[in-house]
Amino acid sequence: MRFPFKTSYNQDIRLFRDRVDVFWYGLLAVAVLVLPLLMDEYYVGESTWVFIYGICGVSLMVLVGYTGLVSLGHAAFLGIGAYAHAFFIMHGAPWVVAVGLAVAITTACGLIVGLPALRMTGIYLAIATLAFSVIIQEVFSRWESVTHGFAGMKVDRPVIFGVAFADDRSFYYLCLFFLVIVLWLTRNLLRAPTGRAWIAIRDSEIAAQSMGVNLAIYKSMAFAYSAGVMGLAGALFAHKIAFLAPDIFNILLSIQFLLLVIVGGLGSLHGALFGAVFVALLPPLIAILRDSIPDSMAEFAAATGITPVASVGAAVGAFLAKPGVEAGIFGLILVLVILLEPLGMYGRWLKIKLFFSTFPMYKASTFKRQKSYMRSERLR
Amino acid sequence: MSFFTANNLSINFGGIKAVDGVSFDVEQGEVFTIIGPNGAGKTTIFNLVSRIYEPSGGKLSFAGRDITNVPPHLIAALGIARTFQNIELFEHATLLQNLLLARHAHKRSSFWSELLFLPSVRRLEIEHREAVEKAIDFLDLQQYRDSLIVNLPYGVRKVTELARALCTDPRLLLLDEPSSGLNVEETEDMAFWIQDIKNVLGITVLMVEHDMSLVSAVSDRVMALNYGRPIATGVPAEVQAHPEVIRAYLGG
Repeated sequence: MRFPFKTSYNQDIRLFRDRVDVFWYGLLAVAVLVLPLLMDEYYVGESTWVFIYGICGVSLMVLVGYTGLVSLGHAAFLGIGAYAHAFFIMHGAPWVVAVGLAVAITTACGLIVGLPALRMTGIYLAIATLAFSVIIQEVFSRWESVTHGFAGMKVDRPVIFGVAFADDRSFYYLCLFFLVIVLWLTRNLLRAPTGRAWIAIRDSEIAAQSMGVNLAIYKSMAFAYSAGVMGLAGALFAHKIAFLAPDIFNILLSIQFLLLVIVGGLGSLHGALFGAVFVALLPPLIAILRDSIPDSMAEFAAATGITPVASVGAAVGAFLAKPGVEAGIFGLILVLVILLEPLGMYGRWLKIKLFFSTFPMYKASTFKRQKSYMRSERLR
Repeated sequence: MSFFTANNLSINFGGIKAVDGVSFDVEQGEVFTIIGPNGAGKTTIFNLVSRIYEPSGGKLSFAGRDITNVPPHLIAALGIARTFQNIELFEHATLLQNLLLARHAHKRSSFWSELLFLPSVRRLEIEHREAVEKAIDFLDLQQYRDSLIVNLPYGVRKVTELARALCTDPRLLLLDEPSSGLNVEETEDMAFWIQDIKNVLGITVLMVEHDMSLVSAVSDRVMALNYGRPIATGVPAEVQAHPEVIRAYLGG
C-alpha cells in the first residue's frame, strides 16, 4: 500500500505523481519503443492505428469528456485535416508546413462550428454537428479541384526535412511522437486554469459563470482545440490510409470516435488511450480469431479424435467472417460497458489498481453502486 | 452612496412580477438578510445581483459602480461571489479543483503559456493554491481536499460552496440559504463562520435565510419580502415583530 506524503504544492501539479509513476510510465515507454523492433511489420502497422486513434480520442475527450459538449461530427474534422494536409503536400509544401496549415484550418473550422455550441447543448448540439459533418462530406465529394471527389487522392508516406518515413516502423515512431506531444499539451491545459474552466462548464455552467468563466470563450476554445488536434490526427490518418475518398469520413467514423471515448472512460486521458487500443485492435483481433479458431480447433480434433470440435471451430470461423459481425461486436461491447462499467475501461483499470495497491484488504463493496437521491448520483 | 445599492429593481416572468420595485442598500461590513415566504422573490434578487437574470427595470450599483449591465462572468472579478441554494458544485472534480476554479477571476496566464505549462504558470498555480489553502484552513476542509464532490455528504458540500465563494476573494458575499439541509450543529458552525467572515475577513454579507435563529444571531439588518415587494426593513427583532411580516408568514 502506498501512502502519498505531500510536502509541497508542486507535488499536486507535477506531470507524474511520484517515482513509482515515473517508473511505470518509463517501462511503458521502453515497451512501445522496443516492441516494433520485435514485431512483424503487419502488427506494427496495426499498432500505428492505436496512436492515430489515440490522438482522435484525446481530441474528443477534451470536448465530450471534459467540457461536456457532444459532437457527432468529428469525422468531418479528421477529413478536413486529412484533405488539407494532402492538398498542401501535393502542391509542394514542406511536410511540417502542410501539417501546420492543416491544423490551423481545422482549428478555424472548429471555431466556426463551435459558435452554435454556445447556444446548444446535449442532443441538439449532437444534431448540429452531425449536420455539419454531412455537409462537409458533401463538400469533399463535390469540390473536385481540391479533393478530386470520388476519384480520390493518393497520399504518399511522409518525407520530413529530407528524411523519408517510408516503412511501417518509422511511421509508427512518427505517430507515437505526435501522440506523446498531444498528450503532453492536453495534460498541461487540463492542469491549468483552462482545463479547470472546461471541467466547470461540464459540471455546472451557472456556477462556472458566477466564478468568472466566460462560457462563450471557453466553449469555443474547447471546440477549436479539439478540432485542431483532430486535424493533426487527420494528417497522420491520410498517410496511414494512403488514399483519401469522401466516403471514409462518414457518420459511422464519428460514432466510432464517440464509442472510443465512452468505452475508454469519459473524463480521463487514460480512457482516450484505452479506447484507442480497443477500437484499433478489435478488428485485427477478430480477423486473427477468424483464421486461427477453425485451424486450431481442427488440429485439436485431429489430435484427440473428437471430431465435433472441428465443426464447431469451423462454425465460429464462418460466423466471424460474416459481414456486420464486427459492428455487432462493437455494439455489444458498448452496451455491456454502459450497463456494467459506466466509467469504461478506465474505471475497470482503477479498480484493478486499487485491488493491487490495497491487497489483501480490497473490499469489493468499495465501488458498489447504490441508489441515492442527490442530484449528482442521479446523473451517473 | 452605500456599498451596494439596489434601486427600484424589477423583473417580470411573463405576466408575473417576481420582483417588483425593490430598493435596498447594504453598508460595507454588515450582514444584510432577506427573508420572506416561499416564492417571495429572494433567490430571484440574488440571480439579478449576480447578473444571471436581466432586470426589467431598476439599477444595481456596487462600490460606486453601476453594475446593471455588467456581464455575469465579470461579476466575480468585481468582488461579488455567491453560493447557490441547490448546491452547484463541480461534482466530478475534486474539492481542490472546485476551489481552484474559484480563482478563475484572478487568472493571469495566457492560453499559450498554459499549453506549454511554462514556469510562470506553475508559479501562478502555486499562488492560487496558497489562496485556496487559506479558505480550506478557515473552514476546516483539510481532510476532503482530494475527494470528489460526488462522494461527499451534503453538509460538507454546503461548506465547500462557501469555501469556493471565499476563494474568489470577494468584497460582497451572497449566501443563498446557507443553513438549508444542515442539522442544528452544522447551522451553529455556519453562524460562527458567517460572523467570522464579517469580523475577521471583513467581507460584507448579503444573505437569504429561513432559519430565524440564524438570522437573528448574525444579521445586522433584515429585509422582509412578500410577493416581490419589500414589506419591512430594520434590525432583526423589529422586522420579526412587524405585523405585515407576521401576516405574510401566517396569513390572515
